[in-house]
Amino acid sequence: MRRKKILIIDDESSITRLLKLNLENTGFYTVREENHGAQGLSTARDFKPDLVLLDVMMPDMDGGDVAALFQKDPVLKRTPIVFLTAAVKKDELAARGNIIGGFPYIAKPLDVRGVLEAIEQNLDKAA
Amino acid sequence: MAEVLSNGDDNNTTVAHAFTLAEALEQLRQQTFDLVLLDLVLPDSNGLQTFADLRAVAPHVAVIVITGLDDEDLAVSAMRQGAADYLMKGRLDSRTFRRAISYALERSRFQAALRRNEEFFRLISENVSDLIAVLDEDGKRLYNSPSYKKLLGDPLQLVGSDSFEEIHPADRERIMEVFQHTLQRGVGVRTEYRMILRDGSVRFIESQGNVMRDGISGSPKLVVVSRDITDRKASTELLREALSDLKKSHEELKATQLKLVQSEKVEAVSTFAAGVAHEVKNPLQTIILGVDFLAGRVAADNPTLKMVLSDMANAVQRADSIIHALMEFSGDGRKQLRAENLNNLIQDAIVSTQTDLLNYPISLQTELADPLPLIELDARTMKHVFINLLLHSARQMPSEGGKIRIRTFPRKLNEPLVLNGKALHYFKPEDTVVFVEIRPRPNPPLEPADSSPPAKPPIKKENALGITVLKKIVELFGGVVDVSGTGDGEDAYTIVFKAAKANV
Repeated sequence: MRRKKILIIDDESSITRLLKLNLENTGFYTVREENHGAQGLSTARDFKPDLVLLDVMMPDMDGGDVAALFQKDPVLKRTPIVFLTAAVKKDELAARGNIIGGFPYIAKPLDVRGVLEAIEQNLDKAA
Repeated sequence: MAEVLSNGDDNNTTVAHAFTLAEALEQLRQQTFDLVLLDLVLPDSNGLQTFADLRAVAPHVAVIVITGLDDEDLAVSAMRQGAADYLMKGRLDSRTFRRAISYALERSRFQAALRRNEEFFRLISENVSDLIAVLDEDGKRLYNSPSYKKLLGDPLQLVGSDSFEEIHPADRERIMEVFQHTLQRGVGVRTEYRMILRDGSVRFIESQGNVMRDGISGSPKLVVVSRDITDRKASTELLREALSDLKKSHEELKATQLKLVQSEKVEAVSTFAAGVAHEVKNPLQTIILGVDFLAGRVAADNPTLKMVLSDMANAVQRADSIIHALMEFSGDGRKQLRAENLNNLIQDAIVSTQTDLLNYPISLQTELADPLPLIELDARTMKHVFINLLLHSARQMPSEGGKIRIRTFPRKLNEPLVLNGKALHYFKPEDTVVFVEIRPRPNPPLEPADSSPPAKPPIKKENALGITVLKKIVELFGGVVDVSGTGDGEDAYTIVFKAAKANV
């Protein structure tokens, strides 16, 4: 089975690096990481991920803006995006079924198991 | 006579003659004379009537009456009526005559001066609004200025009346004492009293008396200067009421301002807490992912490494729960300071902790005073304070478990609040305060304790930090938290709040 391609976009390089290591560790995923929104978009065009893990709060371009650019791209608009957020509490998010405004969210701090679950739930859910 | 007068030292004398009273009166009407030598027996008038008719036309001129030798009684009568002197026909020598004239003129000048003074005094007393009275040493009225007319009627009718009569019975004795005191000292003090007028109305009067000695009669007289201060008192009262209203609204304004300041503070702390929580999440995230990675890769077959990583993971979980509490505190909306019943918040907190407390062999016992004065605070935040204190208390319990007693009660302070031997002057006498006590009561150990002291459960780090934060939150709402040992190694919490203004 082809390994699923995951793109992680988060301004904290330690997080993207460790998340990449953890996901690759499972043997199911090929992972690329980016620490800038704009960079993430161009990498996505080239990498064609099956799913994007996208941080909401980033200094140069926030996650919402990046997602909007994905929506405009004829190829990338079908790619599922899972947002990572530190602004919402885990239990509040769970109460909303981990969905805000139609997008799936994971609350930080996230553990690997939670991320894996979110990826599995949203892969192939191409819009 | 005219000759004598013109021959005198005084060359300024001018003499006019009249042979009948009618002629004399005509001249007196036309010009002013210093002196009249008046024979009481004239062709057109006779006796005292002559003097009276002349007086009627010239009331102030000096008159020397001239009579016959057998008419001395008549002359004396004329003098009683104001004649300056009398001379008898047949006993006139020029020296006596001159001296009589000189004395009469002198007396006339003196009387004129006296009249001017009297007129002057009359003008003053009629034109001042102050009430001026002269009393004898028994308080009988000798004189009252015309200004008394408004209060007591015609001042002339008052002469001889008792000046204490109109004083309000409740004030009379005091004023009599002041009167006596003034007589003894010579100088009085300003005194206020009530006067009852004939129509029954009451006026407030302010008086000050001074002793006056006229040197003629030996008995002292009291000059009392008074003022009707009823209107002034009424306006003072109005002013006082206005001032009190002003003070009240100032107090309310201060309270509102304090509320606003507290609101702002709570808001600022919330924002800060939210910021801190957010910033701490990312480093925590890195550690969690790092631990996860190491646990999968490095520690799979190394039990020591596995344990170290597990401890690290637990520590991160704890840190995460603190962040969680901070976010809870910061909340989503603005903090709302409202008058709240602590009993309700405590009951809510108990409901929220029930699932957590299932892990402990602990029962909760509540003694909540009803009614309980309301406290101004943000209910949601304070509920979390109670939740945390309950969980702290539960975690401190020994493995045998126990009871946590939660008690609320109001108290009106007689003196500044003293907690743990420390006086807290922010809580003043007369303040109504509400106490919340949270006391752990551990069950006795299952096995009898040996001689060595029982091992205390280790104080967890999170505990110390938690309490500091909780204390700050309570302080933001104007309260105070006291932590004191129960003697068994557990902490008892006493929280005191000032009751909200509205229910004091």
